[in-house]
Amino acid sequence: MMDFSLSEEQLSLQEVARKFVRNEILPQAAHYDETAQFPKVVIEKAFEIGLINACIPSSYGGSGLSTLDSVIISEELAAGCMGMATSLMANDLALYPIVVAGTEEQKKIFLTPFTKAPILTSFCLTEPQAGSDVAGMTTTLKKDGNHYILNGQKMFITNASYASQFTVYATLDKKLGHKGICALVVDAKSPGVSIGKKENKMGQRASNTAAVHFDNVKVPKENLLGQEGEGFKIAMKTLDHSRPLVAISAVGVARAAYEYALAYSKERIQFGKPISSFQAIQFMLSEMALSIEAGRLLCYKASWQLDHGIRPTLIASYAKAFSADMAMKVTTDAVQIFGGYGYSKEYPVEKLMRDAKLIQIYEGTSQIQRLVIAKEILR
Amino acid sequence: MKIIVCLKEVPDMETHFRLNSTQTAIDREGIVFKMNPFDECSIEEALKLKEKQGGEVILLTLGPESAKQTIRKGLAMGADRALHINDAAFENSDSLVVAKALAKAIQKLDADLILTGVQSEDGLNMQTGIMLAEFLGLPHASILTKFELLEGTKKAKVQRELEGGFLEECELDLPAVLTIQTGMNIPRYPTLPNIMKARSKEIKDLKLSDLGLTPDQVGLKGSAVKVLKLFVPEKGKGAEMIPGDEASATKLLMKKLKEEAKVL
Repeated sequence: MMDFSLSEEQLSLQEVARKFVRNEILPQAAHYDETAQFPKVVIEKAFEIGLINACIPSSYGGSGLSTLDSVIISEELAAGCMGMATSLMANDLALYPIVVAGTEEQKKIFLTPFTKAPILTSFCLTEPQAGSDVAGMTTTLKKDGNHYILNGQKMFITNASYASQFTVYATLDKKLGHKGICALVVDAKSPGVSIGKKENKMGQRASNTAAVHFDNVKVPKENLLGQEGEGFKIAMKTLDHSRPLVAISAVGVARAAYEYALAYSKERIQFGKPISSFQAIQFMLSEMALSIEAGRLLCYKASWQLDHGIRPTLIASYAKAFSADMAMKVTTDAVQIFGGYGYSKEYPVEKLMRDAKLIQIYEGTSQIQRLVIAKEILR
Repeated sequence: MKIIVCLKEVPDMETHFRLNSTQTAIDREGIVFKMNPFDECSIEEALKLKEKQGGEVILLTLGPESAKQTIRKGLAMGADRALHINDAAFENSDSLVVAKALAKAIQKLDADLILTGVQSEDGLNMQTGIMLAEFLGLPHASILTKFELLEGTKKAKVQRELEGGFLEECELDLPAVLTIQTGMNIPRYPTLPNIMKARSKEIKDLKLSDLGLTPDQVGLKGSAVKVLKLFVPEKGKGAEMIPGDEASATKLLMKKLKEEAKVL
C-alpha cells in the first residue's frame, strides 16, 4: 500500500533540522559564502545533536537513521546552505564504505571515533585525470609484507584540509581496469600524506575542497575494506546510497530559491500590481513548484528502495539527474524573478544559483547519470 | 532529585486562527500545535539540574490524545518519562481545574521540585503554576530568571522578575513550585538519537478516576471561569505614518513622543 505521510519521528527530525538551519545556518550562510571560511563551529554544533554521521548504525554508537530519515534532514540543511550541507554530509560518504564492507573489527576502529568527537573524514575517489572515468585512476597500491604502499593524487576532496581519516580508492594493477581497484582506510597523519591548496570555488564556498597527495604512504593490510579488487563495487554501492542524499539537497536548494521568489513576487510591484499577478511570473512559479515536488518524490522513492533492500540504481539516477538539473533551472528562474536585485549579492538567490551548479557536476555528472539510466533501461 | 515539569501543548501562533461556532474557543481543526515555549525553558532547566545532581525528570501534561506528540518532543529533549492526564472530561476546564488535576497527579510522586512555565502562550493567564503550589501546600516563586540549588541544604536561591525592571532574589525551601520565564536559558535541540528513542519512553495515561476526581469537579462544571465570548478586536484607528528620510523622521517622531504622546 502507498503511504506518503512521514512518521512522527521523521516530522521531529525535520523540525529539528529546520530549527538548526534557522538558528545556526541561515544567519551565517552569506558570511561563509563571502569569506569561504570553513564553518567549523556549525559542524561542531551539528555533531552535538547528531545531524552528521547519520549512517553509523546504532550498534556502533550512531543514530542509525534510515536513508529516508537522512534524506528528510538533508533537504532542510541544503535549503539553509548547500556549501555547509556538503561539508556536513561528507562524513557519511566516507564512512558508508566501512558500514557496507568493513569487518566487525574495522567498524569498531574506524566508525566509533566519529560518534565521540566532531572529527571529519573524506571520500577520496576523483583524480586529476579520472573524474567520470573512475576505472582510469592512477593512484596505485603495492603490496609490501603486512602493508600496502600507496602513491598518487586525489582531487576535489571535500573536507580534505580538516579530515583525520580518508577512505581511499587505488588500483593494484591499472591493466585490470575496475577489477584492480581497492578501497582502504588511511590515517591522515600517516607519513607521506599531504593536503593541497584549497580550491577557490564558484559556489558552495563554505565547504572545503582540496587535493590529497599520497607519497609512499604505508597502510596496514587490516585497513583494506572487503577483498582486493572489490573497491569499485564498494564505491558504486556507496554512490547508490549517497545519490538520493545529493539529489534531495538539490531539491532543498531549489525549494529555498522558490520560496524566496514566491515571497518576492508578491511584494514587488510593477505596472501597479504585484508581479505575481502576471502570467509570465505565475508560469515560472508553477513550474518551480511542480518540479520540486517531482524531484522530492523521486528522492523519496529511491531512499524507500534502499531502505527495503531493493537495488536503487535506476531511480537514484533518475532522482540525481532530474533534481540537479531542476535545481539549476529553478535557481536561474528565481534570479530572473528577482531581476536586477537577483543578480546582486545583497539578495540570497544568486548564491543558490552558484551553489546549484555543482550538484550537476559532483557525485556523477548529469550526463553520467543518463549513461547509468541508459544502461539500466537497455539491459 | 525528582523533578516534575508541567508541559502544555499550545497552537503555533503562526497558524491562522478560527473561532468555533459558539465563539467560546478556537477551532482546533487545521491548527498546528507546538510546545509552550515557557515550558520548553522549564524542561531545559530541569535537564540541566539533572545533569548536575542526577535523578529523574518527569513530564506532566493535561490535554487531548494529540498532545502526545508534544510530550514526545519533551522526551526527545531528554526527559525520562511522562504522565498524561488524558480524559475527555477535562475539556473546557479553566486554570483552577487544571491546577487541581496536576496537583492530584503530583501528590503521589514525592517530587523534589516542580517547574512550570510562567504562562502558556495561548491563555496567558499566569495562574496554573501558582494555584498548583497552593493545592500542593508548597512554597512557590514565580517568573524566575535564575535558579540555584544551595549545596548541602534543601533550599534554593532564585531570582525573580518584578515590574518596572526590578529583580528580586529569594531563598526558599524545597520541595517548591517554580514558574520559569523564557530567556532564563536556551532550550537544547533534541538530539537525533533521542528523537528515535523517545517512542520507547513511558507515557502513562491518567484518567479522572486515577486522580480521585469526579466529573462535576472538572470540565465546564468544575470551572470557576466561564468564557462568554471570544472575538477579534475591532481594528483601532489613529496610526500615523511619519514621512521623510531617517534623520528627519526620527526628529519628528521624537517631537511627537515628547509633545503629543508625552511619554518621554
